Amino acid sequence: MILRVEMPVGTGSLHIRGGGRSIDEQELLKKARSGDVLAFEQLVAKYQQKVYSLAFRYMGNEEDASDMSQEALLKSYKSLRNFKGDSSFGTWLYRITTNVCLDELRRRKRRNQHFSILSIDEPVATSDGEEVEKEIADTAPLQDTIIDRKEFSEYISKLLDQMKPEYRTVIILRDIMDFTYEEIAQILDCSIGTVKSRINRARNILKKKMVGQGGF
Amino acid sequence: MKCHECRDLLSPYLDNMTSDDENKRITVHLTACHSCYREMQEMKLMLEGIGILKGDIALPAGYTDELHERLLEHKTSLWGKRQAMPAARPGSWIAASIAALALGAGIWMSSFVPYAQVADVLQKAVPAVFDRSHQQVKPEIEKIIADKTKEMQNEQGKQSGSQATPSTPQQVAVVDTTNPQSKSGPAATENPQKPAVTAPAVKVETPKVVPVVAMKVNVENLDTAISLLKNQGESENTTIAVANNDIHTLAAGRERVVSIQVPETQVDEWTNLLDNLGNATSPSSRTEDVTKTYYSLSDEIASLQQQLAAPSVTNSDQLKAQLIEFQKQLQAIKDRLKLVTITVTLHEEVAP
Repeated sequence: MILRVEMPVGTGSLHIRGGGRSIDEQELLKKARSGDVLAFEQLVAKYQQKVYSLAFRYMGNEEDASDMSQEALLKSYKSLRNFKGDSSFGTWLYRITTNVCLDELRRRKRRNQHFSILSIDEPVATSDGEEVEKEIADTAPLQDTIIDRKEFSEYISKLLDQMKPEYRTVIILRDIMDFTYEEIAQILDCSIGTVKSRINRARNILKKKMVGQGGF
Repeated sequence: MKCHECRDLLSPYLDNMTSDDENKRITVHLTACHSCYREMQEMKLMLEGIGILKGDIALPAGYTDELHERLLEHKTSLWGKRQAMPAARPGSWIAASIAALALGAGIWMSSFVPYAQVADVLQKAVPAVFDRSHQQVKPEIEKIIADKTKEMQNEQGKQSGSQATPSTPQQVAVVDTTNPQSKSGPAATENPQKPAVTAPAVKVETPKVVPVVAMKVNVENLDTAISLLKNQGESENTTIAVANNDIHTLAAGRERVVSIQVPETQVDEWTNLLDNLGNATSPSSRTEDVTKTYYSLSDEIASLQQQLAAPSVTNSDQLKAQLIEFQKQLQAIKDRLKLVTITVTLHEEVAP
């Protein structure tokens, strides 16, 4: 008789990498899909700091970043069955995080519409129908007043906050989070061509503002 | 290359996402066009500026604990109902029992009733009992079988001698030879006094479930933590099983799973101790189904005892040794069933 004594979670598991996803990750995925919280926590352990950092870049503060990143992780826990393995598990998590954050920002924008929050890159129509870029009062610190790293970070974050979500997203994903064009295409579910042109457009908008304000 | 083409490709160019041909054309253009060259320099400068925001941000204090709590809340709303039941998957137990009984009853009754009739009876009975626990279901199914048997015996009694129910060759093969009414031919007259039908014995396995408390602790030194736990276990006469091998995690570090068996009253004391070993996640409760192992061991023990009792036994020493081993393993499971198993994953961070 072959006696198979059931072992506790995690004991005796193999950790062989192969096919892009390790056996351990597959095993954890299987357990997590059946509701095993501990397995899910082990599964996301190596991604959660990046998930949090990504949420922080979108939301701009610790409290919102904490809330949104956890919301994204909970959402992924609930919809693990929908993860088909077409992309890496991490990319799938970052995609959910991006969507959760952008949804929240859109929701807030709708809620605060009466405050007329402006987007720096959104053109406005003049009386003769021509679209021109908005002139926004410069609230960012000027070059000679930017004295330290922290202030400069805040200055860039502030400019990013004022950008349209689609441009802000690609700057965050590419220039801050260092994702490749392929990964960004997977996260945003679009073609690499779209990613290329969107990154270029976003950088040009940001550069224009920085040059105009003497950001460098 | 024109200026607007060059500017459209500036970002991919700086990210090495342009083809060799594009690279050549861009380089040529940048050498000749001061304006585009300046554009590129500004973009490079800006990217260096944004670079200040690169790098992962540390998780705030209590982040993983909070996430753990939120996951458990969700789990309760998603799987709570199923967890609250005694077995890990009670539905499957009931379904399996019913299927086994249906099979047994079907084979047995097939000797004198058409399959459709049996299926009809069980189908009517199943929805009514499906939502109840295994123990409640068992007597009801037995009663259904007994009633149906009685009913069919009466019908068979009326028809005996004149109209035997036609059976397929396979059905004849499984007919109880002690049942004179179930087949035609000489045997029907050989032992007319024997009871007409004996219901087949259906083995029912009571679910055996071990309560498990799981947690993870990040420790500074794995070996120190393990020896600390072992010492504590020895002083309290508690069984502590340490996995033989480390788990090398995907992230930097190594892990070892330690299993601690304690009475329910000592669970808090142990989780507190584990909490103090390092940075611990909140403990989560689950169950471990050991029914399969429990009953396969019991079966093996019974079978070995039977073999040993046989007068023709030749390898009794070997069988006895095996029997003792199985009895030991069964006892270990019985002990676990009385206790709570704390499964702790000790994780040691290793600098990359």
